[in-house]
Amino acid sequence: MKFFRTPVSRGVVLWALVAGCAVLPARAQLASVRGTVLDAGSGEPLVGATVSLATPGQSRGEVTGEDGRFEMARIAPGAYQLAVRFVGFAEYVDTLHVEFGRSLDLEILLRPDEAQLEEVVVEEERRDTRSGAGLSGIRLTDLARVPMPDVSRDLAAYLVTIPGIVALGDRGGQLFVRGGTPTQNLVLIDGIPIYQPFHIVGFYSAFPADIVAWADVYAGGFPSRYGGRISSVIDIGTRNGDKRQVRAFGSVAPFLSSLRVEVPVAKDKVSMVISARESLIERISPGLLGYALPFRFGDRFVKLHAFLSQTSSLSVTGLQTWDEGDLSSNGVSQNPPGSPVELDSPSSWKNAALGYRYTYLPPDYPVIAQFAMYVSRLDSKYRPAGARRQDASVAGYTMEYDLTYLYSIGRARFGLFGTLHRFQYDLDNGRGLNQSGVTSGGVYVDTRFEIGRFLVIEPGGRFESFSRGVESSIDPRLRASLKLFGGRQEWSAAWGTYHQQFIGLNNEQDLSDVFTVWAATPRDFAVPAATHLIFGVRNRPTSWLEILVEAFSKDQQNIAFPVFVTDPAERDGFSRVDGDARGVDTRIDVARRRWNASLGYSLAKVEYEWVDLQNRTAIIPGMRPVQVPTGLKFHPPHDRRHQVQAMFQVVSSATRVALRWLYGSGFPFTQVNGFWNSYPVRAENPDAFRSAAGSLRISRSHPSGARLPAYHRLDLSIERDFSLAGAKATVQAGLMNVYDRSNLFQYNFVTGERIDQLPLVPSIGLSVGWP
Amino acid sequence: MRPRLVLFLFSAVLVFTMAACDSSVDLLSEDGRDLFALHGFVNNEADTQYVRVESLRPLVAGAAQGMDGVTVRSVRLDTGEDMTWEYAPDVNSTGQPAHVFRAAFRAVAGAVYQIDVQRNGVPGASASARVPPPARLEVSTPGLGDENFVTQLVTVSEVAGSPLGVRLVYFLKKPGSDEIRRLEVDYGRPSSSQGRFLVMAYPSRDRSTLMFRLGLAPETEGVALVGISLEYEVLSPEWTSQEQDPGMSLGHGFFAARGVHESSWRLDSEAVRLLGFVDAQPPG
Repeated sequence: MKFFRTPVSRGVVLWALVAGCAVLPARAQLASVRGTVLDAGSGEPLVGATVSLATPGQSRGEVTGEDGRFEMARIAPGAYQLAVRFVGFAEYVDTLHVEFGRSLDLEILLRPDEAQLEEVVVEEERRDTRSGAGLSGIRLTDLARVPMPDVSRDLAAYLVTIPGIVALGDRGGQLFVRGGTPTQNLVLIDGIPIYQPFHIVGFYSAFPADIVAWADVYAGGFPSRYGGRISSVIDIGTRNGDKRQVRAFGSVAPFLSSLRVEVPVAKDKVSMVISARESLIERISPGLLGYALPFRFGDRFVKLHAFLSQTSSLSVTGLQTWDEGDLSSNGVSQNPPGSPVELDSPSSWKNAALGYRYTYLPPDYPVIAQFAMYVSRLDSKYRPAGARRQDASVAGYTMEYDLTYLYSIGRARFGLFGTLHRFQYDLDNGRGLNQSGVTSGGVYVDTRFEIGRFLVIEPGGRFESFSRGVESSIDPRLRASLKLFGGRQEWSAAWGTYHQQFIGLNNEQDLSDVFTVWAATPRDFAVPAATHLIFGVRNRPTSWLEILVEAFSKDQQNIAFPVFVTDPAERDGFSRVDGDARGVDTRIDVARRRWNASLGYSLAKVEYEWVDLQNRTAIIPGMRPVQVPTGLKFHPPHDRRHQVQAMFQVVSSATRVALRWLYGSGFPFTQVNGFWNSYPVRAENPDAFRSAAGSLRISRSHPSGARLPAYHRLDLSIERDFSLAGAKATVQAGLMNVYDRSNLFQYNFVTGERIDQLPLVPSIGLSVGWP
Repeated sequence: MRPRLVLFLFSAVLVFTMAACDSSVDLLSEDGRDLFALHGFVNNEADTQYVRVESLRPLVAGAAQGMDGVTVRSVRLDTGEDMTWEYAPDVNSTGQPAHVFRAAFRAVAGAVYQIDVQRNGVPGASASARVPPPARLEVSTPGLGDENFVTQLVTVSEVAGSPLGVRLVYFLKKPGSDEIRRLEVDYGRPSSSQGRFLVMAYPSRDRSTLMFRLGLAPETEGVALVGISLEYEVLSPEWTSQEQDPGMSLGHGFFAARGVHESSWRLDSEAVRLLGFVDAQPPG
């Protein structure tokens, strides 16, 4: 029975069993209603539209998914009122006559509601946003609430406003989610994992916001269809593009300029979105700011989407990003103002990703089938001052096949997946080039039961078999929500266990180090694992007020954590720790017709512990294992205890003013006792040490025994829309770090140089869109 | 709520924050300012012991503090005998001062020595090490082969550290001379396991070396073997430690001990005869 010995084959058998169980009951359905919701103007599918089917006394609802599709199964015969709503579009209402055993397939065209578009009705948006324990659903219009040094929006800037998400600031682009580290976050764009999803300037993600159709951010407690990471999931779906006319959008701003084109390749059938962005700041900053910002970055995105038939679609997504620059430079240029910056590029990385997804709806079954393949690669380089270059790369190949079965009280999603990862790194430490690979395979079940109108239970499970570390893992997951007081109050909870087969190692003791070495979990050690528990309550006492309180616990085991060595010329060693994060996130949102405001506060505590001296020392090829005192507890450098974010936006007919203030209490750091020289004491030459020159060593104090100063910053932007030769144009002016706060980014212990985050940065930008 | 109220709240928080928050950072720990680095070892072979001491400096390029107010003391823990070390500055290869302290004593095998560095009474470094005591020797019956070939296996056990060098020592008298010559033949660095190592002695192979060093022709007869012994050096465990600061309980650096020991035995008379020597060893 060799077949059953491989991870993938075990997964195949399990998946076949669950999928078979899922399809058989489908024949007993009464009737079904399904269809696609499209923008009547562009033909573009509308993701997240609310579809409701009502008879007197009862109502059923569904939200359109990718491709704008929805499906409701096991509908009893009769007359129903069908209503479809989407922000910015006029409500669609129709009467349906459902006959026994028949399946209705609809194409619903929504027309823009000019009145709504002129005055963005934020309270309506928020009502449609997906939410739940640990989950924040993001709409493109949310992104406009965050001031940017750029007329275009970006998801990265918005993510930081979600309680529980901690960022370093405006350099480096690393996110820490409820005690997790950046390499424990799963970031998907159209299902493709992106290993370094943020640009070198922390305002920007690796993809433009105007291609984002929707984004779900799970700060924890994510369902079983997601795996491979133990902290959080950022799942981003991109727009499919206009299928009826060519659209173009361009913007120019000091930091970043962009161009996006949407082309209907075949009318109403095939569309293509092409986007390109490139930074200008490295060329403009000497003249604009009087000093150099040595960052260069950009990205290219392309997506092809096709309706192959009434029941099938295909999308192909490609992404390429690049970043380079000197994160540890103050940017003090010796060049005369206006001269271009010579980039020495100690840090650089490139993402390349490609994926396709085929979706099929069998005509006679309430089932959605999807098949997807993804390839993603990250190449990173890092050259510390005075040292040679270090290289690291990771390439991941993923194949997924899943079935979503729709039934009268919910849906069930069954998936089969397999992954292959290749790692390669050379840290220039005399230990040579390291190459390794790991595979995994498994199945998941993700179900949703809607019991009555107010209770939703989402149990699930994920079985995954690994070629390294633990042989296999079974991760149960459970999410639930209960609405009270007519839906104005929602209690939600999530629980689950998580495993991460491979690890991303960066110098977490130095948060500004973005160079990440992805590697297989060391042999004979358990893979990193976590258990999440979340309880939350969301109150909407009125239509314009929402209050969210969420408590979380995230226990982690087998985390690879860097240990400082005393030799500054050697990259730190790694040891194993267990950790736990606890906290409470709160947010109050006020959304009125002409203004909206949001105030969030997060209280969190993250603690790590070195549990065992011998057994927890990570033997990672090419890196030095370091033994540490057993039982030592400390707060890791990303333990931000308090974080406050406040946003305020005023919207008039064509003008928007946005303010954002961020406050974060200081990160822990390890103080330095001082510097000393190490002398070679050798028994073979016992007198030599008395007059040897010695080599430099650093003496460090208790790990994370002190805290950096608090981080806070106020950003402001003003936008105004106008018409320009038939095109819609927006002009924006902004001030980042309005009161010029000196927020510390990095302190070089060796040179004594302090590197701050960006000072007061003015910006002005213009965007133009046709039609 | 009105926009003006929200703006007011924003401004209030802003003013409070600007007034209250300091952006400076103190990178140097209070605890570490008095620490020292110490390098050296004690051994039972030399009459003077040396350590090198320097205070931690706050900047890489900055100079360390001088030795004003610094005292280095050692104490032998089993007897309580203490000693103040004398400042004996040296100069390193780049012309910088090397802060060396010395003490005139010979370490005792098996004793633990603790050394403390203080500045004006404030502890800055502390370390201890045990001088490896003599090990236990077991000598097997010599192997006597054809053509006067003699070997002897020596088993050294209960070694409190790692062996550094092993030498076979012959005590010989030339014909017609009363002078006893001590001649050492290097047997290299043995590998040890669980406090034990083996030495295979080849006296018949060593004979030609010995005769050469005595200035005699290989076939010369009448050379007397007065004694034979094994000299071995043992390094205390700190020398092979993976810890960052071996031997140190406070401060940084390295402190260890080295023991040199010699054990003799009586070589079998038949083996001496086969080697072509006259057996002049004391009766066993």
